[in-house]
Amino acid sequence: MEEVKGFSVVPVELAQSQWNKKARHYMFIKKHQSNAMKEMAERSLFIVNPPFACTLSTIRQFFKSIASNSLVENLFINDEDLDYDINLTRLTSDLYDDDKDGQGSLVRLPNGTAIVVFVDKSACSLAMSKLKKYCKGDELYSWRVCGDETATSIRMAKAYRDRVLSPEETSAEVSLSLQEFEKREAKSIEELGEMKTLVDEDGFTMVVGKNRKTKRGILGKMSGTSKVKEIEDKKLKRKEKADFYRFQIREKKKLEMNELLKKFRDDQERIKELKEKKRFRPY
Amino acid sequence: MVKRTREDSIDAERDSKKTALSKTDLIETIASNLEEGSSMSEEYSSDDDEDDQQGGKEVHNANQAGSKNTKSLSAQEVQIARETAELFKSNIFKLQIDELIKEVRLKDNKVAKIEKFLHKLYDLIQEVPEFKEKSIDQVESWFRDRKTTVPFNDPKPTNVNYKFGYGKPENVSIVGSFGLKTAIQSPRGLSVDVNVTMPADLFQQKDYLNYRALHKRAFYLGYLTENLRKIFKRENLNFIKLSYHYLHGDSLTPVLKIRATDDDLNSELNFNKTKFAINILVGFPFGIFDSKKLLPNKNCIRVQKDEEIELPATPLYNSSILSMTTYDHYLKFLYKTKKNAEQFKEACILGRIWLLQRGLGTSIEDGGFGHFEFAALTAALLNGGGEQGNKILLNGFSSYQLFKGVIKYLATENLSTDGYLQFHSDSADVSKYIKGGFNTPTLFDKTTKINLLHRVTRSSYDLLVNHAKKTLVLLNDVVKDRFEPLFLKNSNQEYLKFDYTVELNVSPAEDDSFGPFEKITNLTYENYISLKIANVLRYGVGERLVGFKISCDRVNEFEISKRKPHYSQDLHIRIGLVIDPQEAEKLVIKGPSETEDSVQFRSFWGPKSSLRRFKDGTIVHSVIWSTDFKSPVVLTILKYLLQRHVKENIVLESEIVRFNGLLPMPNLPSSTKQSTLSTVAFNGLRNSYDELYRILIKLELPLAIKSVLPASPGLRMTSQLQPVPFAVSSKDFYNDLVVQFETSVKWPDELSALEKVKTAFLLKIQEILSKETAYESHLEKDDETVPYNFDITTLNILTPEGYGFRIRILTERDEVLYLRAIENSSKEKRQALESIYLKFNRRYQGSVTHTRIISSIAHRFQYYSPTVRLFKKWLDDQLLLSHFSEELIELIALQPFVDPSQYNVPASVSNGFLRILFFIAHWNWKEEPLIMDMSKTPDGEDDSEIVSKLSDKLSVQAYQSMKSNFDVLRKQDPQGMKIQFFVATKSDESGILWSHGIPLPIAARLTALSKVAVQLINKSGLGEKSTRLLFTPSLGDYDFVLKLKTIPLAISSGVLPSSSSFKNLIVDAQSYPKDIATKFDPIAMLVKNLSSKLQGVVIFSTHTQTISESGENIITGLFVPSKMTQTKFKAQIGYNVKPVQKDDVVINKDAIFAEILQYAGDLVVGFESK
Repeated sequence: MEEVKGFSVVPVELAQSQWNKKARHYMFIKKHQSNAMKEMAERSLFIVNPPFACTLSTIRQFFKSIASNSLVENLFINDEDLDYDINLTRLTSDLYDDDKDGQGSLVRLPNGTAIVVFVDKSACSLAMSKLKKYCKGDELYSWRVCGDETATSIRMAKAYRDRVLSPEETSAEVSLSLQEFEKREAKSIEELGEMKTLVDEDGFTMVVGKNRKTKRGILGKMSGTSKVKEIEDKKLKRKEKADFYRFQIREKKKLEMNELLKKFRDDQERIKELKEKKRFRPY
Repeated sequence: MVKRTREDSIDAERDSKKTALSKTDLIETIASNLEEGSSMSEEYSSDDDEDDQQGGKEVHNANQAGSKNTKSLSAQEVQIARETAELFKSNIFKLQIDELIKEVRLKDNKVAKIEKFLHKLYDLIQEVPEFKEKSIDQVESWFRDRKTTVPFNDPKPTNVNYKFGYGKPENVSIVGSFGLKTAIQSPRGLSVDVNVTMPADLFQQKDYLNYRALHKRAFYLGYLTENLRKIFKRENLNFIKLSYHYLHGDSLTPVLKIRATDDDLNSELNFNKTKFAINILVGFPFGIFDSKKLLPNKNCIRVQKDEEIELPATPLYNSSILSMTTYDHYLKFLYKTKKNAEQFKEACILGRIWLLQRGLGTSIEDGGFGHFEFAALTAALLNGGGEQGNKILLNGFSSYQLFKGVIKYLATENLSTDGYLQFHSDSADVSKYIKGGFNTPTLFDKTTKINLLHRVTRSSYDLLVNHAKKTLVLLNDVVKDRFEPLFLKNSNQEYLKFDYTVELNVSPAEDDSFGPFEKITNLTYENYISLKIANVLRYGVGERLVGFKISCDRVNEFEISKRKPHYSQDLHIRIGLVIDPQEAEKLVIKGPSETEDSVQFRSFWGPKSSLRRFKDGTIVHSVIWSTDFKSPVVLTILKYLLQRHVKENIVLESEIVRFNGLLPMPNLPSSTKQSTLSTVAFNGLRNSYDELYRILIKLELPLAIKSVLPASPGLRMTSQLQPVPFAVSSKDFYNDLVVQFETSVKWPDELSALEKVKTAFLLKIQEILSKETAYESHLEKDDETVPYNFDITTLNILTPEGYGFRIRILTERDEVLYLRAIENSSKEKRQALESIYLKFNRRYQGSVTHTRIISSIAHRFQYYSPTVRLFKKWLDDQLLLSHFSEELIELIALQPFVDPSQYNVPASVSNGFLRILFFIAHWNWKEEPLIMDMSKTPDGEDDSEIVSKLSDKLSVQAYQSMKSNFDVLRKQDPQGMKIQFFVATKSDESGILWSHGIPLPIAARLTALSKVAVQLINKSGLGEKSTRLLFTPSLGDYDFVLKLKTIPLAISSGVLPSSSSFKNLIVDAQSYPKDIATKFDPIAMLVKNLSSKLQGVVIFSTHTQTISESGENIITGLFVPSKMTQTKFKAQIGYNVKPVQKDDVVINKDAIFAEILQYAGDLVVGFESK
């Protein structure tokens, strides 16, 4: 099969080992179409299902082998189910204007897809046509997941090592981003200040408040809130005498009785339910 | 419909007051109801027969359209509702009791069936011919060629000159619970007792002496059996099977058991399907012997002619003889009580279920306190029971009140050492509690002179009281519905009941200490040796035990062709121990001081006893023990004592040794000599933390550090491996600390900027630490803790003592910002952001609180820490641990400790662990939340109001609010697809903080594995093999398994390999390795990478610690079922597929395997897939 829904089906071969047979991995590739960042989009290919742990270097090797003249410039990949809509910095700050540049300049990809950016438009077209040719041929490219990288055990140790940050670089980075933040903040405060001084037609000025939210929505009802309620209720009760008039007493008793009866009926219902579940079999 | 208590029968003030009150209230309320709805038509109907069978009054409010009050209020309903709330614990409790009693009631058709046979049996017994005045020789010759043997007890009669005979029974009647109609269905089937009373003319006045009456009775029984056998054959009742049976395990009381087999099921007399069995008891006429001569302190077996020596009392023998005269008598007594107290029958049934679920029964083996004793005690308490004879129970009490009254009496009044209860079974004379006990449990009937508790030993009495105490606590619990542990759950599993059991073999034949005097007082060797061991235990380790049970594997049933059951040479004895956790591992036993008489102490302990001076200057006779990592101190003592007092070369076998041995041993000096309770390793870490804390708090920073709070398993004594210096390969090497600064308003109001400022602080701390201290430290990126927060950094510190700490900073802004993110998010992303917030909350806030609470609990319940570690080991061996947060595991493991309900708090690793497994196996998390009260005092018995007000005990309101959180959760997610385990405590009322994000198949697997484990234990016990099996993963359930290279990380994880030839510390790592990253487990990183790239497609599992002896590890994979079907291709498909036809694609497993194998590269040494 060569095409699925406008995507070229591009198989690559995965070498056998002592535990498994040869296998084929299928990429689904077509020319990238996007209105955002048009220039870049025009020299990119869109890949659905890139091979496992695909990196710039492995994809470069692949295109080098089938279209040696098409130089790959960059690779954008989403293979860890990243959600681009979740940006904690933006969500927690009001220093960004949402309407300005949408959600930043990042490429937004669905999970399990990638974009290969070539140096220019022609390189891209060439790569695509070579790909089609490659698909018709019999020779399959043998994909190596880890490329030329070293043994896994060493790679993993390196991954641990990579988590350690160099103090100098970190310190530089921190001060840079804090400067940026301060700049943004200063600008925003300035704007805010302007707003505050602005008196509208009715003679009001704008009041700017912070938006806060309680935990309640997520964590269900906390006892803290019910406690507050209790205290309030108690205060109210203290103010008026509840058993002064005869009707009050009667009312209270009636309420109690109804409550009792309601509970009783609920209990009967529950027992019925439990009985149906055969809970009353002691052995 | 419920029958209400009759007011006229109530003679106590408190009760009548209650009812009176409720009645006036009631009338007033109903009246007011009527007044208000004056527009409504009113109708009193006194003979409404719709649902009114009691003939009480009923008031109806007709519901008319437009009326304000739409609810019809039936007076009777109100009355019931009121009453049940008062007379019973609560409405629901009463309703549950009703249902339960309905459920266990004997089915009418079965009763009819057995009654039919009983009638027939009665007629057949009448046919047995007389046989009189025969000598022993004539008897022997009569039986010579017959299939039946007379079940004479030891010693068999020889050369006796009295006569044997059979005469028409004086009386044949049904006795016992079937006669009293308190019989219920039971899993083991029910025995119907038929009492055949021997005619009085067969006896002489002195026949109670020297087994004479018993031998006459044995002959009577044997003769009856042989004749019945022939008659049954003649009547073609071929389905009948006859056997002898020692009633209640008493070898003096053989009875004939009649069972129906499944042959000839068509016979209308065959009662096989009813599961009933019939016991033919042979009794003596009431009052035939002078009961004063048979008092428990009298001797009735004269073994010696020499009158000089005083013979020991024969209480067991005396009670047996007396009991045989009273079968009918007690039925009458209980029947009379039943007539007087309306709910007596129900109370007896409740008591019976309660006993049954706890494995308590009338036979000696089951503790000697069964439903007969329960009923008799209830009856006695209805006639008094106080010191002045004041009534403990009243005839008008509800079944619940009666039951609770009896339980309370058992729990609070000592009937053994402090006093005893005496009552009259023939008159309404009051029962009295009389001070001064006989040192044996006593419920004395003045009429018959029987101690009804004669089968209850002191040790089984202790256990009974313990059961009653636990039950009383449950009955008093107002927060949770305790019906299930009270009546519905079987709590008779040895491995749950006892902290551990000890098994041993003795050979009766070789024991010379069982002389003639021992024989007549104890009757059997089993009784003798049990008593002997019990006495040794009580004197030697009594303070360390809550109770114990000694049982022998002797059968009570034997063929009618045999005189007595055949026993093997060796006697196998099991001792079940309930340990007092506070006392268990103490090393010193103090005896009398230098000046006091110490003969008994010294002769008991032998060479182990020595005179010692203690710190406080006293000089005391004492015994010193030492701890061991496998054998608990109690076991060590027990072994010494049994070898000294029972048999020198005795071998003790106990599962506790195996279970203790399963815990990984820390690579520390003399760790083989440490008790399982030792906290040495944790203390080392704690000290290192304290030291670091002192330094951090003094640092000069732009903002002062306010707190450095621990938040790691190691710092709450629950880490899977005990912390060992320089053990960098352990996954718990780095201990999280949450640092908070003094309050400031200057924190940036944006998450990434905030994280940057935190990083700046960490940089500063690092700078100072490396300049001024011996601490090594470095900054690390942390992109796992909170997803989508890519700016978190931590400061990882290596202390000179060899421990690792990881500092993260919490500010007062963090939570606000995460919550704001939720607020600002679009609707679709809300859930994802809420989950992010929970993740943050876990690490920064929840974990700190959790650590604080758990470390205090670990101190309170000493066995909690080793139990959690073993539970974690089990989960890890079963490849599950990596999927759960450590905190969730710790909370679940807490269940048996904070809520032991009908048991004691676990006091051994095996018991704690098995109780956790049992709990999970029976936890229906779809319908039940786990709500725990962490504040309880270990006893949970102090119910005085002030204490409960001051303590932070879980209140009804708090419980209800957590319960309603659960209800809300299940309304949204009834099948538990998203959140399975709802675990709420006061510090996390949401119940989901630690349990969200677990894949459903994993949660289901935990339940399934626990079920399998429990089944395995039920079936094959806790032997070597099944224990090993318990900790072996079944790899066949996974879609594929990767076998990985041997990586020797055990020693660098701080574990002493048990196979190692070194008995002690392996001096390998006394400093940090040059490159710490080489000592980290590469598999953990590999699995992390694989999981993140294949999330939603494959669930990977692995052992979180590579510490097996050979350093092997595996990774298993499970495909997510929803991704297995063929589907249409689309760009958002999100997982590895191959084209099938047209637009259809399907998952490409071969490619996934190939890629995983290539990615895992040189770590793989084997691969298997389905």
